[in-house]
Parts: sequence; C-alpha cells; structure tokens
Amino acid sequence: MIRLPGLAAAALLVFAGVTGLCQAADTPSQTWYTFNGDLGAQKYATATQITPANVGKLRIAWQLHTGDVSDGTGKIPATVWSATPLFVNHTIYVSTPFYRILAIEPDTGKIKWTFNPHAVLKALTQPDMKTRGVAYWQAPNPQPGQTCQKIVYVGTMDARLYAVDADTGKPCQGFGKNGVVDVDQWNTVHGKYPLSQLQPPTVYKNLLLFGWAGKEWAYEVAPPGIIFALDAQTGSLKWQFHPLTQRMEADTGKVNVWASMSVDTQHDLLYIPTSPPSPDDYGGDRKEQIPYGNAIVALNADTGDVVWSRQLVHHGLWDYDISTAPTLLDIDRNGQKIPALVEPTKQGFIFVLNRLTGEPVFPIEERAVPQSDVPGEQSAPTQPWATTPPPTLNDTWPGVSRIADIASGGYCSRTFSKLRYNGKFTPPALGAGSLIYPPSSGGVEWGGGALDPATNTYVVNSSSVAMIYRLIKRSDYAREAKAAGDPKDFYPMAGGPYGIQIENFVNWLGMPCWKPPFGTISGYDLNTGKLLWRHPFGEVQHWGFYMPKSWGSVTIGGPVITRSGLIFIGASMDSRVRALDLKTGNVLWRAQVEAPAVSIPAVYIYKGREYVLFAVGGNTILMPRVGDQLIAFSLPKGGS
Amino acid sequence: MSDEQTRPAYGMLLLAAAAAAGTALSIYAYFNSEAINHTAGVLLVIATTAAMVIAALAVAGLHFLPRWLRALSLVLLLIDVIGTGIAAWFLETQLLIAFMGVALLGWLLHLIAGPRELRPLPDPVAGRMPL
Repeated sequence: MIRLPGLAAAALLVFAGVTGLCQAADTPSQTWYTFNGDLGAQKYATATQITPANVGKLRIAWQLHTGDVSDGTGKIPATVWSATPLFVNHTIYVSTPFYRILAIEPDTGKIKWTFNPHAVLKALTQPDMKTRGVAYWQAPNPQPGQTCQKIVYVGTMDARLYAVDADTGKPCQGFGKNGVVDVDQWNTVHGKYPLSQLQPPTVYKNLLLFGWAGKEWAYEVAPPGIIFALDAQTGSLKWQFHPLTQRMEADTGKVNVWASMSVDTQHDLLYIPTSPPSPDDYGGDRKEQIPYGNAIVALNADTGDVVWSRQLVHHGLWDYDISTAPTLLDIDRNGQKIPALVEPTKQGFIFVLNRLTGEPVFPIEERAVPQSDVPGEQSAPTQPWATTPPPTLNDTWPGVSRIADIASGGYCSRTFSKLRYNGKFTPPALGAGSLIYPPSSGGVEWGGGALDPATNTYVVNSSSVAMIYRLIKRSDYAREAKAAGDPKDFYPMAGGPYGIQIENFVNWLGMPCWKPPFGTISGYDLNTGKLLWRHPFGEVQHWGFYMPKSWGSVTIGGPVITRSGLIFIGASMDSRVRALDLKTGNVLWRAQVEAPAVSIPAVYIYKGREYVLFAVGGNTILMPRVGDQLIAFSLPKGGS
Repeated sequence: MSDEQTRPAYGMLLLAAAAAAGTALSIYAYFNSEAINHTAGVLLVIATTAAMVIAALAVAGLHFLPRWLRALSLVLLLIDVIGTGIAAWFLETQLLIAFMGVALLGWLLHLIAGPRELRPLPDPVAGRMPL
C-alpha cells in the first residue's frame, strides 16, 4: 500500500491543484519541483525503486558538463554551484553559476534548450559566482498554444530576476520589462550593493516569494532585509515585508533572508528564516530589540502580515543566520497531532516549534551566556537553548588537537591560551580575539535536514569548526588588513567603530587545531526528540590524501530521504556522493564525483525509472576543487 | 666471480617493474582521476615511484657500484616502498598499494635470492658480518 504522509500529501495536492499537474498515466510519480523538493522542506521522495538492498548496484545513468565553471585564477571569480536541480514538466531545470538556465531531458541528459541572460560575471556582493538554482511556476490550467503558461525563473548576482518559458526557454515578455524584473528598483534604503538573487524564489499559488543575499560584512548600515512577493506572471509587486521598522532602518540594516523558505499550504503560512541585523559582529550601535532578526517569522502568504515570530539568537554577534527553511511536520504525541516545524541552526541546536503559534514543542531554555567586554557593546544576557532533541554539537569546543599541536610546535595550544573562550556564545573580542565554536559556518548550514514523514525520522548533517573572531579598532583596521597581505579574512563593517578578522583556527600546515570529528550526520526521532544515531560523515581530503573516516568532513549541502529508507547526500569535502541507511546511518553506497557536491540532490522518476541527481560544483570554502558536473544515478535496467 | 654473484637481480627487476607501473598509474591519476587529480599527494608518489625505478635499476644493473652504496640504496628503497605504500593508502589508491606490495616482494626476493655480492655474508677474514 502506498501511504502518502499528511503534510507531503497536502503540499503535493496544493501544487498539483495550482499547477494543473494531474496524475495522468504519463505523468511522473515523483517530481522535485522546488529547492527543497517540496514546500514543506521535507526533502522527501516517495520513490521506492532504489532500496537499501539494491542501492549498491547504482550506476551513472547520464552526466553532462555545463562549461560554466571557474577556479578564480582568471577574470571570472571562482564558481560555487549549490543548485538543486528541479524535475518538473518532464524536464530537468538547473541554473549555472554564470546564471544560464539549462533544460535537460531527464533520461538522457541531452540539453533541450538553454537561456543565457548574459549576466555580469563579477563578484558584486559574494566573493564567488553562486547560484542555488531555479524556480518553477505553472498556470492552473495551461492553455495550449500560449507561451509562458509554465515559467522557469533565475536570479543573478546583479539583482535581476528572469522569467523564461519552460517549454522553449524564450523570455516571458509579460514578466517585468521584457522578461526581467530589476529587484534593485526596491533597493532604496542604504542601497550600497545589489540585492543579489542567488536563492531561487519560493513559488506558492501565483506568487514568487524571495529575499536577497548581499555583502553583510561590508558596512555597519546595510540595506534592510525586505521580503518580496511578486506576481508570478507579471512580476508586479504584490506585497513587501520589512523586518525592520523605519526607525531601525536608520541605524542598521539587513535581517534578510538568504535561505529558502517553507510554506504551510493548509494554513497559508510562509516561514522565513532571517539573518542578524547589520553589522554581523558588532551590535553596539543597534542595541534596541530587533525581534525579527535571527528568527523564524511566520507570515500570511497572501498579505505578508506577521502571524508569529520566534527569535533564536538574541542580539546577534556571530553571523548566526537562521540559514535554512524550517521543515514542516506533524508530530505524533500521545495520539495527538501537533503541527510543528523543525529548525536546525548554526549553533547546532534543533528547535522544534508549533508551526501555527511559534510555541516550543520541546522546551527552550533561556541560559545566561558570556558577556562582551568590547567598549560600546552590550551583549544579550541570555540566549535560547534547545536541549531536546540533542544538539548536533557539544556545548563546549572539542579541545586542542594533539596531532595538530605537535605538528606545529605547540602553535595551537599557545594560540588557544591567548584567546577568549567561555563556551557557546562567547562574544568576539579585541586583542587576540575569541575562539568561536561553532562559528558562522555552522553547525548546520543552508542545506538543512530531511524528514521521513512516515516515521518522523529527521536527518541532518552538521560541521564542527572553530574560528577566531578578532575585532579591530577602526583606527587600526586599514593598517592591519593591509599588513596581512591576504585581506580575505578581514571584514570592514565600515561606518562602525570596529572591523573584524575572522579566520579558521588552523596551524601553518593547514591542520585544524581542534579535535575531530569535523562533521557528522545524525538521525532523530522527532516524535520523542531522541537521537537515533550519529556518525562521522565524509572524509577530509588535503593534498589528495584522505584522513581517517572517524574524522568526518565539514559539509555544505543537504540530504534527501526516500520512502524506501535511504538517505542521499553529497556535501562532503572528499568529492563523493553517498547513500546511507535511514535506520542506522551506515553508508551503503558511494560514488566519486569531480568536486564536492555542495547542493541538495533531486530524486525523480521518469518513464518508470528512479534517478538521483547531483549538481557537483564545489565551494572554495571547503576546498579549491570546482566542477560543472551534473550527474544522475539509477539502477541498471532490470536492476530493481 | 661465481655464478651466484653474477646471476640477474630478478628481485630488483621486479621492484623496478612494479615501481614503473606505479609511476604510470600515478601520472594517469594526476591527469584523469576524479578523486585525486592535480593534487600534491599524487605528485609526491610520482616522484617517489620514479626514484624507486631509477634506484632499483641501478642496483640491478650497475655492478661497479661500491658495496656501501648498494646497501644504502637497498635501505632507501625499502623506505621508499613502505612510504609510497602508506601514501597510496591515504590516497585510497588500491592499485598503487598493490604495486607497492609487489615492489616489497621484489625487495625481499633480492635480499633472499639476489646476487651473492649483495647479500650479507660472513667476512672470511674476520668472521664478522660485513654489513
């Protein structure tokens, strides 16, 4: 019997209703129509052809190279390809870091059409050329012979949003001006840089819902983090949500949404995960309460009105964006269904909230935290702390790695002794700086987790990284940044009293000064909040050498789950993609790809065959290896 | 010179062949392997296996080399084989590990059944082991 779990079913039904996708005989039974697979961000596929028993037989079904790749040594900045490929309308749609859209045959990998917006290939906001993919909209009743009844959207770093016909790749002339909306037309407050469109919009009903990404470390007062709702066909503005009041916008900026969003289609609720106000790492000039910063905010999807919000970090000083769309689920407790959402964070917490009210499903404590000694700063006395489900990271850092310390002649322990460290939420400091664990790289990053709604098993990958945050007085900043030679670790926060240097805590060989594992993957039972299993995940690779499996790897990207009990995930430094057993977390299959697959894979069924598709592009944060490989795996014909 | 002293150094030739195969594999991996292409680790094993080929051929073919140099070469070859094997293990290159296994067999074969002049013999004068 095929059992479609409630929330996934509701989301699919709404999508099917809205887009006119009927379950006709030739219609695929598994689409992947949005960034997280579904609007509830469950990243769950009902496909069952590939199972734990036969996953070892997976083979490459097809692959292609987009050609849109740069290692940063030439004129074009390095590429970061974090796109989730979509499978909908019998086609694979994906954008490249050069902002081209490719439409691809799902079973052969042959390109149907391409769209090139001829975007500016410069690091206008981000240091790398980035994309997280495309969005797709379809009219409720597509009219034959009419164009743009099905539309694919791609955003660019220079703040443009393009709409093209999903069948032909031709621009939709009725969208904005000749098929493009300039999002920067609304960048009217502190518009110091473009409102980059790297994360594809969330498509719900007839709306495109999106925020922006920017250059948050650059200025003390940055553009405010507006959420936009556009008409999907015309590009006209339907509503805006300003997370900052006009008075706040005078002193600070951002509280933007880089990440994907999720939608409760039963209740018309849009959930947005927000970043901190600007600047990222000093709050002395924004001491008032900013309740929508570092928060989950539930908006009425039709109007943009706030329904509820819950702040997960008070007075952010660490760039702890709430970086991933919350996953929606119905928790089964004593026979009662609790409408819930789960939000993993960069601090490694797993917050579980009632998605209709924002109240905690599992307790959240307010714990006293270390206080800043930086002149002008006034850090929050307490921070929200979730102990159930158990965090992905311990409350204290892992300690100095003996191997790295010996290899560096004691550099690690000597440096640590000079740093300020008082546990989680240690604030940035002047002088030698503070050890920050975890730092802004997480914990859990934008890939988030995946949910099996049949059992409420939640799977999430998490990194274990230690960094040094060192505030520098404005009068010394320019000199120190110049003296360092390589300015990439320096962030000016211009206009404020301090800049900041943020660097990995590594020795001269590049070895992490903290103990492994550097990355894990965990499985939770969200009905009880218990940890089911946790394993080091991936392998660190340096100079080609693989470190022991028990060390794990820092990860970027997320997992997906199939109903047959498998987890598919790339994300690790070692340029491998893997399938894990959902029950145990053990690796059942792995394959080599050309770079770290820093994306969320897509699972789809086409012509009766199940495919797992990875965008393999790398991220220079993990390692210098970049790629442009789109690779699909499936069982050999007859292999299932 | 006795027959035993002049017979071919089969062990060294086997080691050289395994090392040459390792060099070829490493060069191929440097340009083609998705896992380890263009990495410093592969450059390292290209260098160590190439050095292994040269040293093994020298020991096998250059009979005029002083005895101490041949002995030193044998010691360095052993370090090279083991070190390259460990590097191959960290590179997760099973075939190179296998080649180093064969190279180690060659080294042992040379020690046990190689030309007599290369094996440690009792010093007929002093009754001591010369090396």
